Amino acid sequence: MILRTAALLLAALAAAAPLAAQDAADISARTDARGAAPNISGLLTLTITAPNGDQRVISADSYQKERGEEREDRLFVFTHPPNVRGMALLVHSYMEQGDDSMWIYLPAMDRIKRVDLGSSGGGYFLGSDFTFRDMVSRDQTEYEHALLPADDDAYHVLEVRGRTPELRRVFGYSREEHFIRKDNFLRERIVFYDLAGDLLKELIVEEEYEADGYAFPTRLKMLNHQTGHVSEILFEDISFSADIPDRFFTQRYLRRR
Amino acid sequence: MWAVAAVAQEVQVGAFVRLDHYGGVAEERLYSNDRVRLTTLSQLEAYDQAGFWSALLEVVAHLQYDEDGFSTAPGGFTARDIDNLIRRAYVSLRFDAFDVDVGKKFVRWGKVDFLSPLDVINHFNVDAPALVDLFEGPRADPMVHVTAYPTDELAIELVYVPMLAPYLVTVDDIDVDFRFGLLDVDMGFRNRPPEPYEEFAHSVHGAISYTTFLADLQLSYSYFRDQILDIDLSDLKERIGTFHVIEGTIVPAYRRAHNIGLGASIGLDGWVISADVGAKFLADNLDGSRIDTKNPEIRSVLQVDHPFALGDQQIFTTAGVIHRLVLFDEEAWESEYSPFLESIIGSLHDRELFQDEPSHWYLIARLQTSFLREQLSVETTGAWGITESALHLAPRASYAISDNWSVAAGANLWFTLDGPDSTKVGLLRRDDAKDNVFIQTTLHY
Repeated sequence: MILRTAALLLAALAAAAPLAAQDAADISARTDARGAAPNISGLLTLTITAPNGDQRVISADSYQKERGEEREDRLFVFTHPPNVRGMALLVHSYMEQGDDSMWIYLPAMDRIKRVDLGSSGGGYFLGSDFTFRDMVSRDQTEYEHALLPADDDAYHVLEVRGRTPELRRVFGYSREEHFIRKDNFLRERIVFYDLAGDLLKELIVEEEYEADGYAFPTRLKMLNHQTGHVSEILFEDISFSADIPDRFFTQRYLRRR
Repeated sequence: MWAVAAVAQEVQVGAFVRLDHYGGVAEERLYSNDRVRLTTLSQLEAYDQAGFWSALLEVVAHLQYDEDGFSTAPGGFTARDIDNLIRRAYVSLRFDAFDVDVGKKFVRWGKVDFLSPLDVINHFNVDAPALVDLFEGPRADPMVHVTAYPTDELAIELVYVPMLAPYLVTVDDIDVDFRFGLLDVDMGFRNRPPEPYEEFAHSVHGAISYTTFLADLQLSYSYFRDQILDIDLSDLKERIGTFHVIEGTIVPAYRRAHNIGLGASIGLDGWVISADVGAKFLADNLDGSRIDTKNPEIRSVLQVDHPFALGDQQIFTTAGVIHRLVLFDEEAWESEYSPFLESIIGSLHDRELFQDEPSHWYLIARLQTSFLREQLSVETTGAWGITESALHLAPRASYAISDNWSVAAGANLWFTLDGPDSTKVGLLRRDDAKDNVFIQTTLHY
């Protein structure tokens, strides 16, 4: 998963090396804790490639910040292409309420509009193979986890899915398979199945940035097996250390960088 | 630009060039805006990286070819065109707890997309409601805009607009000298574009906005000079005798008004429900007892946004209902005019200001979807004036050839379902000379 969940309660466990009798939830929580840096900023480049080779490139300044144990905020300010430059997306993810507040700033209308993630993950993010819900934090209490047998002994394989049919409809996936390295708890691959149970997409983490005990995927590829589309995300100038002011994640900052 | 670059740490230049052709639909009518038009919009933005200040200059220029040949649009190149040329120009200063913006800019209040009663600061083209082409609709005003942020969730805004700068509604005085004649309310009234900034407005607007996990709330109050046209009949005299004489001058007037509004937007499991309610009272006609000026009104707008999945296709829908309640009591109307002149004045207000019915209902719907990974976008907006039996449709389609180059086509169509083919009454004024189709291509930089 490109973005992490605030599972800070188990952050200390993440550093522990030997594992014994772990259940699936533990593994998932340790994996999430690896990515739980309190501040992350960087430049996001999203490249969408159609089967015929046509490409679109979208760039944005990206900021995210832990706001306590129960809330995480994200801000995307788009810088390319020119016809979306200035557009911005603000997300407040609430872990306990199990919902998100989201606003979009539309510069052409000079207007901030509240939006809400509907079914199927809220639709595809700017025409890419990532859904809006793929781009926000997860409330792990909405998911159930099961350990699957692994062909490769280097990986834990987890089956992850929404706890109820309604949640699965909202997420847009019937289930996911997460491939997590046993040695460092990094999530390297996720396979997504659509609501009919058919193979839909595959997310591959190609590079990670590690610092201060945290890890963040910096190069990801999402392959849509049903359409042949490919979407790649590249994060550059990643920083865990920049203290991002709280006010970045307000409607005030949607209109400005 | 180099001077700006010298003091700014970041300078961004954005621009687009658009070539469009608008043409009429009805063969028997000449479309008044039949034209080929080249539009350029250039935007220069400078700011320091610390975020203390920024400045924005946005210039729009048109070159239009129509039945009169080439011209800058609209009309000739006048002082007003210079005002048109500078679409936005303002400086922003950012402090820890508040922001100050000074210059010509837009401030849009309210939570709904269409015809919010809180959105009274910038003037609006009442002749052709800009439900879709927002670029052509509202115009920016010179102002001082202060926004204080006591907390991250709370914003308190104050806006002062010093000068009157109404939209391109063309108005003129009407010299009246009638004996037994009926007043032709169209005569001369719309012949002269007003020059901007000839008069003070001294409009003051305030709003409090509060953001919560569940909802966005906004409360606004304005004491302002309404930039929607009214008329001043104080000079109109009548003598009833052997000859029924009406003489004097009817002049366009922009009256002071109070506007109070409340807006809310709530997200619920994939649905966003927004509502704005506002009441506008003319300062010199608070109770609606004057026949010769606009009446108070309460406007309510309820809007629902929801994306539907149709197979793999995501369809974004917006549906809204608008109610406009005009507060007047015909029996309480006071005037010194004869019933004959009262009926003429009533007709004038009915036709120009749309207050012939106390209650007006509208439905608005918008469907939008995209194909080919958002390269092809299709959208239709429809507005149905239930009270007026009028329908407005604005279909649009655009295709992004590349990140910088797009083509689009669309139409703006008005229909009357029952009643005259052409009328000036109402927000959805039917005039078949306004029907148009367009194609355009746009280059973004």
